[in-house]
Amino acid sequence: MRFAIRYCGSCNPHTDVRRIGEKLKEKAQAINAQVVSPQAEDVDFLVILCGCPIACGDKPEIRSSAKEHVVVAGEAVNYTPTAEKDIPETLFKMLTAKAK
Amino acid sequence: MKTGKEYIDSLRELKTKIYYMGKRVDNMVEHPAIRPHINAAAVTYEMAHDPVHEELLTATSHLTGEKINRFTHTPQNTEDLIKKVKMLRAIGQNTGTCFQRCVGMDALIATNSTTYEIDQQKGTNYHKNFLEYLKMIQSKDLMVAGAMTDPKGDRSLAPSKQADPDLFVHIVERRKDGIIVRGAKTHITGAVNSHEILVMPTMAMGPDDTDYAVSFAIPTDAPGVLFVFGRQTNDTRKEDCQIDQGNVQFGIVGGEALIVFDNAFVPWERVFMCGEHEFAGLLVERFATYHRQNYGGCKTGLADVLIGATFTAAQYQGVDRASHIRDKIVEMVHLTETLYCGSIACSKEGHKLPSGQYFPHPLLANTTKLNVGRFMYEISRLSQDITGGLLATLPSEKDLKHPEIGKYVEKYFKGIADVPTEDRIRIIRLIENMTGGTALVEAMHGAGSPQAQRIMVLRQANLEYKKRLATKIAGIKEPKEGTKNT
Repeated sequence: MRFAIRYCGSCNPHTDVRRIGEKLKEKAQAINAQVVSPQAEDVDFLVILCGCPIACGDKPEIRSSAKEHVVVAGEAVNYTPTAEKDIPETLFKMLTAKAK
Repeated sequence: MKTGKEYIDSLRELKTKIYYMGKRVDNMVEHPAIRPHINAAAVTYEMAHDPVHEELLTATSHLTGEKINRFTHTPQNTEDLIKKVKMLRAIGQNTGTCFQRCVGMDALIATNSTTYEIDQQKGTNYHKNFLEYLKMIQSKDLMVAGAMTDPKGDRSLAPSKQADPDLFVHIVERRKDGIIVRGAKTHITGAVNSHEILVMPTMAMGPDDTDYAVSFAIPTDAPGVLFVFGRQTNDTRKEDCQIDQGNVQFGIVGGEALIVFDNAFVPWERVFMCGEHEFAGLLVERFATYHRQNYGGCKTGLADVLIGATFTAAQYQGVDRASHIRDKIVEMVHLTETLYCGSIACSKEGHKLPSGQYFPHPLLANTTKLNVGRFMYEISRLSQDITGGLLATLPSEKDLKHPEIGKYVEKYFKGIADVPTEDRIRIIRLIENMTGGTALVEAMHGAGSPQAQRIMVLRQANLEYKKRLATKIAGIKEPKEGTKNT
């Protein structure tokens, strides 16, 4: 399982995207998921990690750069409201499901 | 793309001639007055390599297809214009002060589009030469100082009518291999710690001012170029204080300097305007609009830091829950976001120029900068209101750390019980330095003084259209063509 995190740029974020990303990477070690660059080829799962609901990083060309993707837009995962503290765990569960 | 460290190391290789407080600066990188500004500029390099921010800090060159630092990019669509503003806010949030590199970015952008139009009308080669220069800047990821403002002497006189001809940068000799220039540019941001200077005329010019209608690029350490680094409020605190500087790592404002060109030589391939006086005003307007577009980006980043600092100071003093404090914080946020609205709007409403480059809406951009000159003062006033008189009366850090009297400073300047006095002093010092003296002047006069924006606002206002709207609704018949008031 090769997964990547693509950040929006974080100009004026509602959430701490760096912390969310780091937590996810930490958790991913438990299932031996390999973190790769979002520009890498053969990305199995791409986390488009945006700091606010504008979700600047959510673009068709970015979505299509990986086999599967999830969009975090502020306190929402795939546009479903999710508290910031729960986002890393929610993403980890999705990552685990994909790994299986 | 350079890293922050590579940028700083590259400055060590330059032989830039800098003077400060009556002395020649031999090592700018280690100089306490200059180093904070170098650190702030280095953030523009470092954030480009940070995965969290690279989407904003990098772009794809339309010339080479390579990934480049956005500070060397020219906007190819409105998304690029918006990203420029968002990038500036993000960097401002990380430095809490001016990071200088946007001036050179806008000089590159403005010169790119203007040289294209000069060539179209005059059959010159400026744009071709400029594109080669731009490619070099992009590939080496150099920092460029945009240099527009001349000393100007007697403001009522044109450049060629001044008592001293050097009060505007001008061509003193045209040679086979290039030009010799003389004059000066004043209060140029990030000048000493840039690799290159991109010179532009300071205002529209007439046929008598042909020798003053000049644009060129020159390395900062070229023969005939020297810098006099400006004084700043509290600059002696950089010599032997840490806490009292407020922002010890990045300083305040942009390390502005006077640049003197004393018969400096510029080869033809680095000359981008040479006597085409009718394009001087166009280049000024282009640069000014691109630069004014920025101010609701970088300044809102700084305002974010100031709001955070003010709220923290209120917490440290136990007043953060008071309704009047919260109301003032709301006002600070409201003013900040109003500025941001302006920068985002002028970018979204941008349009294409003949060169293919995109240009922000000039009326909205000038309105934004005009608001910055007012709102940053009001934001700072509110911050000072909340923080209190300690901003002006705090003892120095040397007293705080003094073996005998330090205990009194510690005791009598403490706020709430669980916050160390030093932390309270640190946040107040940050506010003091962000809201006083030099920092505020930059908000008013950077990117042009308020009157310059008012002139542009009036020029763009389309008053005749507004008059027609009113007269139609009022039932006033349109006067016949050729009569008074048409």
